Order: sequence, then structure tokens, then C-alpha cells
Amino acid sequence: MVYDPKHMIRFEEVGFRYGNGPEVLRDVDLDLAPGSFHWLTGASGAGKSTLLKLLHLADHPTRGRVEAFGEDLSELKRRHLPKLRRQIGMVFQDFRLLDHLTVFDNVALPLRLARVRDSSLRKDVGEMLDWVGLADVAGADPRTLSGGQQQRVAIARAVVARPLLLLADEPTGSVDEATGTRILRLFQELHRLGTTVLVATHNELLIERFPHPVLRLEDGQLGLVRA
Amino acid sequence: MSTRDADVALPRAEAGGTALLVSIIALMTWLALLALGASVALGAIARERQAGLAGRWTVEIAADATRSKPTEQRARDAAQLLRGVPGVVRAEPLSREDIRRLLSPWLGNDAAVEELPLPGLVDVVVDAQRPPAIAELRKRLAEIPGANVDDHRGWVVEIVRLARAAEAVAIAVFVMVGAIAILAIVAAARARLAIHAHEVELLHVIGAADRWIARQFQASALAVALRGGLSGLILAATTIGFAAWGFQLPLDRLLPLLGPSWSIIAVALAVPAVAAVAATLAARWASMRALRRLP
Repeated sequence: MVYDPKHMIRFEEVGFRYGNGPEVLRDVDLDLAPGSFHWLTGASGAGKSTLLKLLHLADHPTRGRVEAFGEDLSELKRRHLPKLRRQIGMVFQDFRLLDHLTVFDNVALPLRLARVRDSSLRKDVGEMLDWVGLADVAGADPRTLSGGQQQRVAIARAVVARPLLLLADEPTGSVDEATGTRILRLFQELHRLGTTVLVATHNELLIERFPHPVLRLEDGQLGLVRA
Repeated sequence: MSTRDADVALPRAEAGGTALLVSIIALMTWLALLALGASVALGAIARERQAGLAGRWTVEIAADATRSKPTEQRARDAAQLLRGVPGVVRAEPLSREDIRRLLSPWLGNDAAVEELPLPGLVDVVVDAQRPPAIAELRKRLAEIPGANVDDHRGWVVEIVRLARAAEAVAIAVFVMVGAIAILAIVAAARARLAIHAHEVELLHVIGAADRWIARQFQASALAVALRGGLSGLILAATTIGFAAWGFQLPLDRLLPLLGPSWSIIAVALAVPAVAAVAATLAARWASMRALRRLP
């Protein structure tokens, strides 16, 4: 994929509202450079999840311009969106694992979507499960795992296809401090390997411990509070 | 660990719902096959009746003791007269024994039948390409008292018309049954989409193309339609077998009318195959339509 290396994702005066409701995002300007790591904070209901939804191209803004990987979304045909979405790994707050698939098959899903051959897929998924420390539960039903383990399965699924951008919504919200720190170390490692990372969190402790630029959403408006 | 089932990113259809849909498709296929069978059989019978009676006429000699000559004699005279008419290939009077056999379904075989005055019959084969004018034949037969010629056209036309009407109704039933089956598949695909909206949304946002997600629904519809279609085929074959046995249908005579045996098998197998293809397309249409509503 060819895109301007200065801008992985760029928002210009983006606004978003649900139906005829009030605007939950207003005049959002955002520029995520490749290889950057950002925290996204804000009170509950400030619009973090909505912003993440727009960032992983799950919805269109009601106004403004969004550019992803060099493509202006307003000019992009709908059929080209899945290819862009596959460049983004998303860790959902509620994990969103598929209960009818094993841990292995949940992690393998993005590779199957990318039509990766089975032999290569097995190797990649195996390595990824090793990396998140879940190799021994590869065949398990995700419902039998602890919250922390499920979160790590969700992370493995988000990064297994080597996305250019990793987004995470409250990845430490339902795990203890030790597991939260471990998850953040995984993100740090991905960032070191070149992945652009944006993590939405309430956890001030983690923000202090890992000193990256902090974006803050207040009343639907985005500002940079720590460069 | 990784299984072929893993290619199915949506849960397999719910057991109860699947069983119901398989039953519906099986019954629809059963109905469609019976309607199709009836339509083909009626068409074949109509054609056979038409072809069998084309070129066969009958001269009836009324039984009447007051005539100067006995019935048998007048039948022989009529046959003799007809043989000289251009366009008549053959004219043979039926024996009293043959006539009694023809009438036995109505009169029985009692000795008392012997006492009944039976009409005389002459079986006439005419050149189907250049038959004689029936008016001319009637004029010539006027010299035989009580003789009347029947070219069967009247009742053959009625029977063929009736058979054609029944054939049209059977085809309409076949089409309706197919339409209902497709609607059932579309409804099932929509229900599955609604039940698995959560999974579909996840697949959508992690980069699954609409066609990839739709294939999940197609695969499920294909499996259901194949199971239902084959069950319906077995059910229809059993029904026809029982009907043939129960009503003593002359299948050995009727089946060849439908064509060579391989063509009957091909048509029978085509119905579940068409049901499977239609189900796949219907599921694809329903799922693609719903998926296009996603951003």
C-alpha cells in the first residue's frame, strides 16, 4: 500500500453524530504519524469509543475529512474499505471473541480474511500465541479463559496480521495491574517493531509509566495535553 | 486445533432451526417432484392418446333385430365396402367375442350377456397423412343400415385439453413451490443475519469483504438445501412407489412414455440440485443486501 509516510491517519474538522442526536465529536483534527504511540484519554462519554470507531473505519464522519493510508475516505469506494480495515488491528474493550471458535481460530481469523496459506497461518498464529503466553490454551474455548487471557487473545488477533496501525480501547480495563502492565509491554514491543499505536485508557498510572504523547477528548473536542 | 470448520466464521446454524428448514425444503422438494412428475406424465399420456388414435376410426353397427340382415353380416358388409375407399388402409370387423371382451367392464361376463343384442364394430385404420373425408365415408356407409363412423376426434380433443390443463396446473404448482422454498431460505438467511449481527459486525470491522461474509450464509443454505432436497427426492420416490403399488398403476407402461430411464433420473436429481443452487443464490442475495447497509 502506497501512502504519504507523514500521515497514517489524518482527520480534518471531523464531526460525528448518531442519527439526529447532538454531535459527539466536534471539529476533530488529528494526525497520526507512522511509528507513533499515543494515549487517548477523556471522561466516560467524552467520545473515545466513537473516535476509535472512526479511526478503524467502522463508520463515516458526518462532516469533515478523513484520510487513511493516503486514501480520502469520501472518495473511496465501499468495496475498497475491507482492504484498508485489514491494515488496522483493533483491541475492543469487550474483547469481541467468537465463542464458537477456539482460541487458535479466533487469532487466525484476520489471516484467513487475508487468504494466508494454512501452513504459514499455523506458524504465525503459533508464534503469536507464544508471544502473548497462551500457547498452552490454543485449543480452548475462549469462554473458559480469564478476563486477562481473553484480553491477550484479542491482542493476538489484532496484531497477528502485522497491521500498520494498532488501536486499543481500554485494554487494561478488566485486568489486574500486573496483567495491564504486561499488556502494555506487548504494545511497547509492537511499537518498537514499527507499529503505530493508539491506546484509549482511563488509567493515569499507565500513562505516567509509559511516557507517550497524550490526546484528550473533552465534550467531543480533541486536544494534545502532553507532547 | 485448527480445523476445516474454522473456515466457518459464523456459528453453524442452530440445530432446531436447521431441522425445521431441512423439513420445509424436503416437503417443498417432495411437492415439486410430484407436481413435475404429474406434469410430465400427463403430457406423455396426452401425446400417446393423440398419436395412438390418430389414424384409428371405428364404425359402429347398431344392434337392431328388425333390420333385414343380422348385425354381424352388416359389419362384414361395411368392412368390405370400406376396403375399397381410397385412404382406408385396413377395415376389419370385430368378432362377437372381441366386442363382449370390450364391454365386459360394464356388462360383466355372465351367461345372460349372451342374450343381449350387441352392436357390431369395424376397426378401421386410415392413412394418417391422407385420410378419407369422413363425410364421404358416411355417405357410402348410408347403404349399410344402422352404420355410423366415429373418428374419435371429439373425445380425444377433450382428453388432450384436460391433460394439457392438468399439466399447466402441475407446472404452476411446481413454480409456486419453488418460490415458497426460496422465500423460506431468504427468511432463514435474514433470521441468521439478525441472530449473528454481533459476529457479522465484528467480521465486517476487522476487514471481511461482504462476499466473504455472504459465503458463510451461502454455505449454510447450500448444506440445508442439499439435505432437504435429497430427503424430498427419497420421499417422492417412495410416494410414487406406494401410489403405483396401491393404485396398481402400470408403471412399466407409463415410465417408458416419459423417456429413457437416465433422463428420468437426471430430471429427478435436477430438482434437489436446482433447489440447492436457488437456496445458495437466495442466501447470497439476502445477506449481500443486508451487508450493504453496513458502513
